[in-house]
Amino acid sequence: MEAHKVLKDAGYTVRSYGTGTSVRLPGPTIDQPNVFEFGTPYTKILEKLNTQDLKIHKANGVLDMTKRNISIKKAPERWPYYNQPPQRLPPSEYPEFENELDFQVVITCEERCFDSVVEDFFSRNYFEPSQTQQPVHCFNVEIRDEHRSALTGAQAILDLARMLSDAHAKSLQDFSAPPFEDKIPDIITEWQQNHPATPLLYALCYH
Amino acid sequence: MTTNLDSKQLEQLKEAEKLAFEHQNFFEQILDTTISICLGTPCNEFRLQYQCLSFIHKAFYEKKIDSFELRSQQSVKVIQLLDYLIIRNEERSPNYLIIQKCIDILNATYDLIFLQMVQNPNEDDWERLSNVKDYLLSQWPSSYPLQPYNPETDLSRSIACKTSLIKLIGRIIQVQLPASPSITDIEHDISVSMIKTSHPFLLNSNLSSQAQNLLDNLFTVLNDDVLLPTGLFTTIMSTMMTLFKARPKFLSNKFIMFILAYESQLKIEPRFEREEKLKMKLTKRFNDRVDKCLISILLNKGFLAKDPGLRTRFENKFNYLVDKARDQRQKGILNVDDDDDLEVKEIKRQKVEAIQRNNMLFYNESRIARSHDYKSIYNLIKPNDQLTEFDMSTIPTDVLVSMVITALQKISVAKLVKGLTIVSDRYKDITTNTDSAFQGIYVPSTNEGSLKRKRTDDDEFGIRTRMKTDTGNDISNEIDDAYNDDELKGDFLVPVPKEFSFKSKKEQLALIVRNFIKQSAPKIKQNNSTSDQSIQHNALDKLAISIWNEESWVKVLSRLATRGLANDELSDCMRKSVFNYFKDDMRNRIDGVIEWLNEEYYSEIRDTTGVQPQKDGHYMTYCAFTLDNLIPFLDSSDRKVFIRLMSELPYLDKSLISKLRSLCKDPVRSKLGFQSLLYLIMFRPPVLPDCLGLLTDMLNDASSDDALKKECSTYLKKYSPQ
Repeated sequence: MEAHKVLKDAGYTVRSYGTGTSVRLPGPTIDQPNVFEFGTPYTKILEKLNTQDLKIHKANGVLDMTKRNISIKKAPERWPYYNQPPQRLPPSEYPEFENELDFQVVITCEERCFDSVVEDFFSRNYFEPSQTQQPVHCFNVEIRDEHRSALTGAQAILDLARMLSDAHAKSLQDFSAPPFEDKIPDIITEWQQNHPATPLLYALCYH
Repeated sequence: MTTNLDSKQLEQLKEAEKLAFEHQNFFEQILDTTISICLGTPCNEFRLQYQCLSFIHKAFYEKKIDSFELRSQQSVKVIQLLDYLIIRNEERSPNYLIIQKCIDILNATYDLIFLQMVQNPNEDDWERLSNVKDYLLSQWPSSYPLQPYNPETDLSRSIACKTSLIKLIGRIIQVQLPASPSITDIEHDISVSMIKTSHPFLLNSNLSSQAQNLLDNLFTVLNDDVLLPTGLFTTIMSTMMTLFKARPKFLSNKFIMFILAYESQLKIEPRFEREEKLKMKLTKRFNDRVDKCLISILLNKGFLAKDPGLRTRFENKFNYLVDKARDQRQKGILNVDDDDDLEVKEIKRQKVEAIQRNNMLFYNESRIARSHDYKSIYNLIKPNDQLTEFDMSTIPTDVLVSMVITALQKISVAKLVKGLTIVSDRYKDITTNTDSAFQGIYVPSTNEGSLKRKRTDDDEFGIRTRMKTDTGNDISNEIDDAYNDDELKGDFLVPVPKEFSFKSKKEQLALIVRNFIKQSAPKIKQNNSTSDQSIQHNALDKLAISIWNEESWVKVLSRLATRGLANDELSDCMRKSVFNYFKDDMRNRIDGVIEWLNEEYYSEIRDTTGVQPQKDGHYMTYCAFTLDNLIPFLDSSDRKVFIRLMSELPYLDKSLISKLRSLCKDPVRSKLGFQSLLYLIMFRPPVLPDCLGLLTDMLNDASSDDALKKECSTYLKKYSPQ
C-alpha cells in the first residue's frame, strides 16, 4: 500500500490488490492474527483494531498503516483471478479504468505474488483463448514485509515507474527513437544496477 | 507539425469515435468515413492516420463494438486499408506505430474475414488479404519494420511489432487448423472445419499445411540456440497456451516437452550482446521464472494427472528451478560471474561455433544505409558504440596507413569481402534507389517501376529490406511531397557538381600545395629496403623519378607548376607557394631551388629553337627573386652553396650577373662576390662578356672605393687584357 500511495502521489493511475485468500494483520498474539475478507472497509478494520490492545498495534505499526490506508482507498481488494468471485470495490470507484484488468503495468512486491499474477494471465490465455490479446508488463520488486523496507521499496517502484513512463512518452513523441518495448530490457538492467538489493522479475503477459 | 486543419479533423474523428461506440448503429457509417479519410491521408500525416487506425483498433481488437455479427460484417472493409498501409506504402518508411496497429487489426479481423469468405466468397478480397498476410509472415522474425542489423541482434529489436506478429501467427494457426469437435467452450471458434468442399477458392488442405508450418516455425524459434528476449519468449508461451486449448492435438506433446526441457543456461547470448552480462543474466532469470509458472500451471490445473511419470519429471524440474532461483538470490543478482560448469561451457562453445559458421560477422549488416552520408554507408559496428563518434581524420596519415595495412593483413578474406559487399550494396542502394537527397534530374523511364526498390533476394537473412530512416519521417515526407507514384518511375542522374569559382580554385590549390609540403617533406625518409624500393620504382617510373627521397616532392610540385596546370594564374599561385617555401631557408634548400629553376627553364625553351628564355618569363623572374632573396643574407661561409647555384642555373644573363655587384661592393663579403665572378669567367664561357662588363662597370663607377677598383682592375688585366 505504501507503493500505491507513492505512485498515486506522483500522479499515476493506480489500483492495488492482495493475491492471498484473505487480509491477514498481526493480532493481539502471534497465534491470533486478525483475518478479514477482501472488501472489508479499512474503517471497520480500524474499529476492530481499536477494540484490541492498542499498545501492540501501535508498536508494530499496524494502527498507523491502517489509518494511512483509509486515506488511500476504501477497502483492500483481491486480484481479479480468472473464474473466481470478485472481492473488490465497485467499478464506480475507478472511473479511469475501463475494466478490472485495464492495466499497462502490474508491479508485485513478492515473488509469490508475481507467480500468482503471471499464472493467472497464462490461465486466461488457456481458458479464454478468444479474449486474451491485451499486453501487460508484469514486474516484481521484492520488498520485505516491514515498514522500513516498504518505504525504500516504494521509492524503488516509483523509480521504475518513472523510467518506464518517460521512455513510453519519448517513444510517442520521437518516432526516430527506439520503440518503447525495445527499451524495456535496458531500463530493467539500469534499474537493477541502481537497486542491487532488490531482485527484479519481469514477464510480458496478455489478458 | 500538426496544422489547425489537422487538429480540427482530429477532434472530429474523436467525436465520431465516441458516437460510434455509444450508438453502435452509426458504426458502419463512421467506419466507412474513417477508412476513406485514412486512405486519402498522405503518409506524412501520421497523427491523422494513427487516429483513424486507433478507432478501428478499438472497434475490432479491443472489441469496443460488442456485437460479433456487426464486427464480422464490417471486417472485410479493413482489407483495402491494410493493403494500402502495409503493401503499397512499403517503400515509404512505414511508421512503426502504424504498422503495429495494422498487424493488430489484421489479427483481430482475420477470423472474421475468413468467416465472411466462407459464407460470401470473394476471391479478389481473399487474394488481397492473403498478400498482406504472406507479406507480414515473411517478416517474422526480422526487425520489421525497422531496418535490420544482424539476425541475433534483430531478435531483440522491434519487440512490439514482433509480439503483435506472434499473436497474428497464433490467430492464423487457430483459424487454419481444424477445430476439435470435442472442444465446444470456445466462443466463436472459426476454423477451416467450416469450409465446404464446394468452396470456390478456400482449400482446407493448403491452409492447414500453412498453419502447421507456422506452428513448426514458432517451435523452431523457441528451440533456437540463441537466448530469446523475455518479451518474445513470454508472448510465444502465451500464444502456445491459447493454441494448447484451441488446437491441442497439433501441439500438446511438443509444447509440454518444450516446457520440461527448456534450460536458459544452455542458451547462448546474442553474439554482439555478450558483454552485457547483467542484461543477459536477467533475461535468463526471467525466462526461467516464466517456465516455472507454466510448470506450476500444468502441475496444479490437472494437466498431468493422467501420467504420474511425467508429473514426477515436472515436479523435479519445478524443484530444480526453485533451487536455482534461491541460489541466484543468495549469490546476489549483480554477481555476473560465469557459473557454467564445464559440460555447459562445452555445449555452448559448440553452439557458438555453429553460429559463427553462419557467416554473421558484423553488428550492422544492413544492406541499406540509414541516412545519406558516408558514415552510414561505412558503419558496420553498433550505432551507439563510442567509436562511431571518433573522427578518424584526426589520426596522422602515416598512422592511419599503418592501421589499415595491419587490419588488411589480419582480416580473413571472407570477412573483408562481406564487409566490402555490405558497403557496396548500401552505396548502390543510395545511388540507384533514392531520391530527393541527391536532388538529381528526373529522367522518365520507359521501364515502369524500375526505380522501385528491388526485393533483396540475395539478402542472406531472408528479410525483405525496406527504405526506412531512423531520423524520423522527414525524409519520406519530403519524398511524398515532391513526387507522386508516377514520378518515381524513372531513373535519376546524379547532378553535375557546381563548378568552383576561380577564387575557390586558387584557395584550394594553395591548400593542396600547403598540405603537400606539410605532409610530405619532413616525413618521407629514405628507405633502403630492397622490396620497398622495387615497389617504389613501379610507381615512381611514371613520374620519372628514380627513387623517392625527401626532395622528390619538389620535383612533383615544380613539374605541376611548370607543365601540369593549364591556367597561368594557377601556375603562378603554385610557383609562389613553392618559392615561399624555399625562401624560408634558402641555404639548406638550394638543391630544390636549382631543380625547380631548371624545370622552369626547360619548360620555357622546350618549344623554342634557341636557348634564351624570355626576359619577363617565369625562369628569369624567379631567378631574379631567388638571387635578390639570397644575396643579402650570404656570408663568406656560403661560398660553396652560392657558387654551386651560379654554376648550375641553366641560364644567366647580364641582369642576373649584375646582382653580384652588391656582393662585390660589400667590404666584408667582396671576396665571395669576386670568387663567384671568377668561377663564372673560368667555367661558363657564355657569360664571360657579362662578367667582364660588370667588372668594367664597377671599375668605372665613381662610387667604388680604391680596393674594389684595384680588384676589378686585377681581374680585367688577367681576363681582358685589351
